[in-house]
Amino acid sequence: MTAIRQRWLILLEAGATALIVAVVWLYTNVANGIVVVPARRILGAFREEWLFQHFVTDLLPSLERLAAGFALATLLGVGVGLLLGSFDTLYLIWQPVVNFLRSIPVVSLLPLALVVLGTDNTMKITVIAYATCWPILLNTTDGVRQLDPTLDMTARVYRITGVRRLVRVVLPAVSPRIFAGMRATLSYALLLLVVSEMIGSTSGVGFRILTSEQTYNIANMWAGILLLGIIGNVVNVLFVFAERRALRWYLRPGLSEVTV
Amino acid sequence: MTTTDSTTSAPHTATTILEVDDLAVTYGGRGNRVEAIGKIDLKVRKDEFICIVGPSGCGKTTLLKAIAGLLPPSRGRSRLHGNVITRPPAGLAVVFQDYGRSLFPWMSVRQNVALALRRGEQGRAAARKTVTDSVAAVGLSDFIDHYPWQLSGGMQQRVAIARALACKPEILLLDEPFASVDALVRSELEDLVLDVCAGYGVTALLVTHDIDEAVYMADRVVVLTKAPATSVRKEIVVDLPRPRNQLTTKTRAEFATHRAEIYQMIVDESPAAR
Repeated sequence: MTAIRQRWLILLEAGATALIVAVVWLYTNVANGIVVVPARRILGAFREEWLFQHFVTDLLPSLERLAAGFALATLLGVGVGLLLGSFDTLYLIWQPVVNFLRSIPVVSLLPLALVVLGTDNTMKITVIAYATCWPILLNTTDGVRQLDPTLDMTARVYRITGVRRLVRVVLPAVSPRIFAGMRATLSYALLLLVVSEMIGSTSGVGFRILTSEQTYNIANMWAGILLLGIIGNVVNVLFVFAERRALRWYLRPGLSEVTV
Repeated sequence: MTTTDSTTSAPHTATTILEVDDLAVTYGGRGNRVEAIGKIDLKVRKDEFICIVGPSGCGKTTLLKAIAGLLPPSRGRSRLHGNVITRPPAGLAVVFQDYGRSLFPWMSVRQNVALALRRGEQGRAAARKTVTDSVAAVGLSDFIDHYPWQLSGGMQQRVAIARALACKPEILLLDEPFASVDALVRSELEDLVLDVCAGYGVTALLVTHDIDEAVYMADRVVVLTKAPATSVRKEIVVDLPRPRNQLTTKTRAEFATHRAEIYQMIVDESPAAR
């Protein structure tokens, strides 16, 4: 019975998607104008722009920045989070600073980043890393501070200390929180990538979208937007896949109680 | 099954390995200080099996943690072989009530048990053997590569016991180890712990709220007074023959006598009394 129900749901989902695509297709054909461009032309532009012409010059640099920024954010968030979570004094001193800094809308710091770091990759990677490290940092800090007392006592009984404790006990225990933080920041990373590419840049998907709009090449602009949607989805699927693998013990079926 | 009196109860001449002197634990700070443990004196001799019972809320778990060095005492001390315990020393292992939280869920049974071994203390092959042996001792050889969440509660507690055995402790502290499993599993685990402690030559200090369990397992039952300022009310030597047996031991007259005596003491100490 549930199998039949499940098949129905999948069918429903596929049907709805097809319907939406059809409606967009027909509507853009009918409403063909300055802003609304027929979907057929957008796909054509997409093929030309992103499969051939700008794949190496713009798409790859964007993906590199995204990956580097996100990796740096994870490293920074987990590293600083472990420190702040492990030492009460550090936590007390830095908590107000952290709260102040993460409250500043990152976009408002872009002019500063331009002045200090210029327009090259370093600026974009730094901006992405800065914007996305906060949720990871806060989640890691909380996770370490709320480490289960029995888990902690067990580590003490078996004299697991120092680096061994960090690697074998603390990090795994906190990893569900770290992954939650990373997932929350994935969309920020993409957002900041596009914004940083729109100001002072000569390459990247964001740059292409903006220049297409400024040269009245609206089909190319839409093609860029479509590409961002695809990147966002693919990155998310990859992330969920990685998370499932890494947290198999945590995301096990029938989980009723969380140990962290 | 053993009806003949082959007594191998605590050799009274044996050396004291664990000594608790004048131990007190105080909670809270300025203004609202609560003396959880008032004054505990206790001597544990090698190969003894000691059970600590007391009215609920008397601080049994607190006492065990303080003895193990997991909680700083406000006065007094516990010593293992004369060395003052300030943190869990080598030669001492603890089994907690909450096996679900004391086993690491991201590690298999094998990895959980191996964690108790000190790096480099023995070669890789020897370490591997120690792990498989301890897992075999608790009857879980077929599940050595399973994860804790794939096992029942009783099996998880067996893993915790195997882990404690793997580090070859001289003394094993157990904090209400069977409180979260059902009655049948409980008696199985009681017998398992008695077996492995005898087999591995481990001295044991077990905290429980269950009087039957205490009398059944112990060479000596330590009865605590109620909180606050808990102290030792009485120590009762249990001279029942070993090996103990769930059926025959519990039908003996001495068992009933001890049980009744301790029960009366705990009723007297219960907060509801007087």
